[in-house]
Amino acid sequence: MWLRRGAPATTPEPSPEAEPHSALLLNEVHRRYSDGGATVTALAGVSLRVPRGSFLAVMGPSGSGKSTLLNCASGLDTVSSGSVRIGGTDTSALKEPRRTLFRRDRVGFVFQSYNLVPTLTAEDNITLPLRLAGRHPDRAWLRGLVERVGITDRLRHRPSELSGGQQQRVALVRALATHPEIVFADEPTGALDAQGARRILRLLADVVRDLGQTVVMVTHDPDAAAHAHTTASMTDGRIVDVHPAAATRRFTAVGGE
Amino acid sequence: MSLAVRLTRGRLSGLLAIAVAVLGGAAFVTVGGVLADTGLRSHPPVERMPGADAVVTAQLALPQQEGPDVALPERAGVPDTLVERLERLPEVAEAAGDVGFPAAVVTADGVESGSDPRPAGRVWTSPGLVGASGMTGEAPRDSGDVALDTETARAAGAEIGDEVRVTTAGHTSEYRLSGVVDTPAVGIFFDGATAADLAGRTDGPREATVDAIGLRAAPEVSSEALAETVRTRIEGEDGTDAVVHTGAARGDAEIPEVSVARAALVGLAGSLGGVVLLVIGFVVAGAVSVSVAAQRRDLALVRAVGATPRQIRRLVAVPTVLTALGTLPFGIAAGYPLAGRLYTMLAGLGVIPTELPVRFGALPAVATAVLLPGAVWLAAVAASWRTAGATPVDALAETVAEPRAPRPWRVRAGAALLLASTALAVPPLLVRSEAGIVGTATGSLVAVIGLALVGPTLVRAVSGALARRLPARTSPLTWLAVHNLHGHSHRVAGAVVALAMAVALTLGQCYAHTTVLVATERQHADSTLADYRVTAPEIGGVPDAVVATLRDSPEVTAAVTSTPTSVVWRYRELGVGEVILERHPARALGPGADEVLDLGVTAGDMGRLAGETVALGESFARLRGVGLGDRVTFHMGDGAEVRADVVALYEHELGHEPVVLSRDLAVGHVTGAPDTSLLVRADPADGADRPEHLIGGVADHPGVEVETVAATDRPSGGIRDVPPNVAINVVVLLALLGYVLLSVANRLAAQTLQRGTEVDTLRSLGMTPGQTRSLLRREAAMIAVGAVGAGALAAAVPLALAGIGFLGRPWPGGPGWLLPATALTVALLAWLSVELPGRRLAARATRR
Repeated sequence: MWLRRGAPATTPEPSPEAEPHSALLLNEVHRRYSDGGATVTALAGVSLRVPRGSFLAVMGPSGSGKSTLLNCASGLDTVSSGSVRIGGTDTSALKEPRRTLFRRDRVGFVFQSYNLVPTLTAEDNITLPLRLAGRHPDRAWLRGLVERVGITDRLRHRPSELSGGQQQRVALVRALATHPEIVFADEPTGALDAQGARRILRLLADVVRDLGQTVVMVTHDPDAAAHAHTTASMTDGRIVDVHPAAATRRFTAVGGE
Repeated sequence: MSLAVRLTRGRLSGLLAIAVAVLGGAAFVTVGGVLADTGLRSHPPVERMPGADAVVTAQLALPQQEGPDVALPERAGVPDTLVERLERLPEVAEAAGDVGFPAAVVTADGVESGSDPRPAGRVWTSPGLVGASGMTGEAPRDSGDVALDTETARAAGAEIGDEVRVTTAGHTSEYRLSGVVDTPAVGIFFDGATAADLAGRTDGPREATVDAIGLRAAPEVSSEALAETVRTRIEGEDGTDAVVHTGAARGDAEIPEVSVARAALVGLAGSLGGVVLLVIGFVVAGAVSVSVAAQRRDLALVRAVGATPRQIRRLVAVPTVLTALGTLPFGIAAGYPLAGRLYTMLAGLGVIPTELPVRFGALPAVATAVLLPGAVWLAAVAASWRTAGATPVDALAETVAEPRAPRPWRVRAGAALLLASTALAVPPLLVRSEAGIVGTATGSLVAVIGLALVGPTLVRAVSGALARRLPARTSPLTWLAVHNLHGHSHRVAGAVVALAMAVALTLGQCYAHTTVLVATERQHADSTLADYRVTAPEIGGVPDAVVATLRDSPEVTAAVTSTPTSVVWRYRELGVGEVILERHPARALGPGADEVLDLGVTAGDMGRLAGETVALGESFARLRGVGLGDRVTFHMGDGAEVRADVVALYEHELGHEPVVLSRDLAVGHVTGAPDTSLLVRADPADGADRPEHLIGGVADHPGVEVETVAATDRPSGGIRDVPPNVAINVVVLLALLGYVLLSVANRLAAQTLQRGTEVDTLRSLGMTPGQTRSLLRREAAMIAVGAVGAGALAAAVPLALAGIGFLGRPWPGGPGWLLPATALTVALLAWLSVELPGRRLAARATRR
């Protein structure tokens, strides 16, 4: 619908710039879970700054806390202590449902399992966050995205009629549809074959480069991380190393994972 | 097995739905079983002749080649000569004929006659037969003597030798109390000649008959041997169709109505059984399919790693059947007390005589234990058939979204059933009697089944059309809700159809009954010309003297006796096929019936209703191919075959019985006195609203009551009395509805809880908990609207036809609030069963 009607883009660009150069700022973030009587510390004081227009890969072995980091940074989960700022807003101080509303309007997600609503067409899936927010889609922006990821002819299809790679590309357009401050990608290539994975990673890198998007991607795949500008390595709930992506490739070539 | 248990874990909500369905289903089946068991095997206590080893009576039912025997509610006699013949048998120590007739002892407070005065008057036989454990005084010797049972004597406050006033067969006289007998049944005993005279056995249609013959066996002769000998002896005699009863069955011989009640119980259990089993099948299958749907992904995975379809079916069936087996005992245990309650209610409504005890045997429990797990197993296999039979790849693919589009045969079969329901609902247009309304109820039921079959397709089509036509301004939540309904048409149809079934059942059954009631009331009000009704329930019938007095009174225009009874009519369905016997209610009216009742005569003349004549309801006559002036042959309520001329046809057969007999024809074929009530029309000139002069006329007759039957005390179009059979139907229907609604609620709740992943996805995309709840609420609202709409539609055609047939307008009669009340209940239920689990889902921490 929104692709066929040529209405002008009316979406206001969200721009409260307190931290002009940081898309994401984590300060001494702790996250503890109580599991029965025992307390499990998933994040043990993480501080991190992600500049606007950069592509960060978070790596680490299973249980190192990288998924928790993504959950806390994106506002899906609360933090036990410390603060999270996204584009100048302290999201760790937001209460429900304001945290959800903020996330909906300012944060994009790409999940390993795509998280498409099976009853909706690709087109409807893409616009769902906009509809929930009661916002009008930025048609030119969406048309550009759809063409960029190459799913123009698949918009009328349900997720079950799409390949994994196509579903993830739909999910990517959905994540970008709201002009988010930052896009979080959680193992976006985990369920894809090598070719599909490469395409998604290239698209992520493209939107960072061409559109100035900020992307934080959690992955355990060094090849995936190699597409990012920077790689942060995590162990036991802490970031132990931050280095340019090219270095990762070299290291893994020697040490593997 | 252990894998099955592990797969089941986390599916507790689904299994809970099964448990609830089985619990209620087991209770219902047990109740039906207890009623049927009681009807088939219960006997009233032996009270009149407990000392007899065997009792001989006339046949209590008319045998029928096809189908069950037709029970006879009126007492027929056996020739008294049989007594002597049987007494001569060497196996018989003593034989005596028992005769019962209306009698009551007049006391200071009124009359005393036990629960049924019609056979309270008795002939004195012997202490051995009457079972008197003790007797003081002497047996009645001549026409001035009477003996009483202990309780009646105490109630009358009479001592031996005292004079007691006794009303027998309408005459009140003084008798000397000669003895007091300790016997279980109420007995007002007279000597042989007096009793025969009072009971009308000296002349007339009952000349030289007795009601029953009590036999005591000679020493060393068992009651079975005695019965066998007597049976052979009776069969040897020509023209005697008497029956021998021994053991507990002797109780049946005492009260003829019991055999009717027993047939009614079996019929009730049968007709209940049909609807109940259908509903239970639906509910259990629904619950199982919800549970299986929850496991579908796991099953597909198990299938993918190499399980055979057979193994998959067992994975589903085993925990399901185990759950059913675990719940079953509780359901059965609940069924017995429920059956007891229902039985007490039936007895209270007069549907069954209080003398017939309810029977709590093991058989209903066994039947339930076999039937229900079997049904559950079938439902489980059916629900898992597709997943189990699909190739592993398809099985996995199907878990992504719903199963494929519904199969085309479902739509065709469903459409055929919907059409059939309309055809089934046609009878009210042709038969304006209670038989016609069966078509309405059946029609709406069949429509519901049709609806269940086309449900998924219908939901898909409607929600699809809705989704395409939604205006752009529609709230995103409504938009999403519509898409969800469309995408999950199978699941949604399950809920919609289950709720629609509740709606259609309620509307179809209730309005079918109320339509007949309203039509009945209308006809009744239209046809009542009498001002007063004179009855005498405590003395067993209106005395002849009262009838004569009132008839001769100058203030009275007409006084006509009226007695309810039954007839058994031969009927050949559609003019071909087997001849079947059917019992119908009938009314015997005295001469001048057209003065007190306007039956809506369409042909002939009610004035000619005398002698061997009958008047018939129009549609009753038409269905049996009988016309005015024909000579018809049928059985009276006591089984006697009679011939009579049809002198009139009438159209008010709903408000009245379909067969009206002349009193002359009925005399001798009804238990007790021939006149149950007297309809009196007062002279308009003397003021119809003065019952005092009537009471003055009957005051010296103890036990006679007068009540006003002014047509004005009936609210027009309203329903005054709810007849017992309707009351039972409504009670059972309500219980059934409760069950259906509870199961649907359970099912909806289970389905909602299974949507955790979906809710999580939406939450991760930025849907607030409030929006999530609102989305689920909108879906619930749409389900409720769909259910009410579909249910009302399913019932609409049959009810419209019933309305046209009975009331001459295309909508049914009855309370208008029923539809909104039903809609409200369904909406509330849908909302609650989605809202509560929905809250839990929405409040859950966002995870991915």
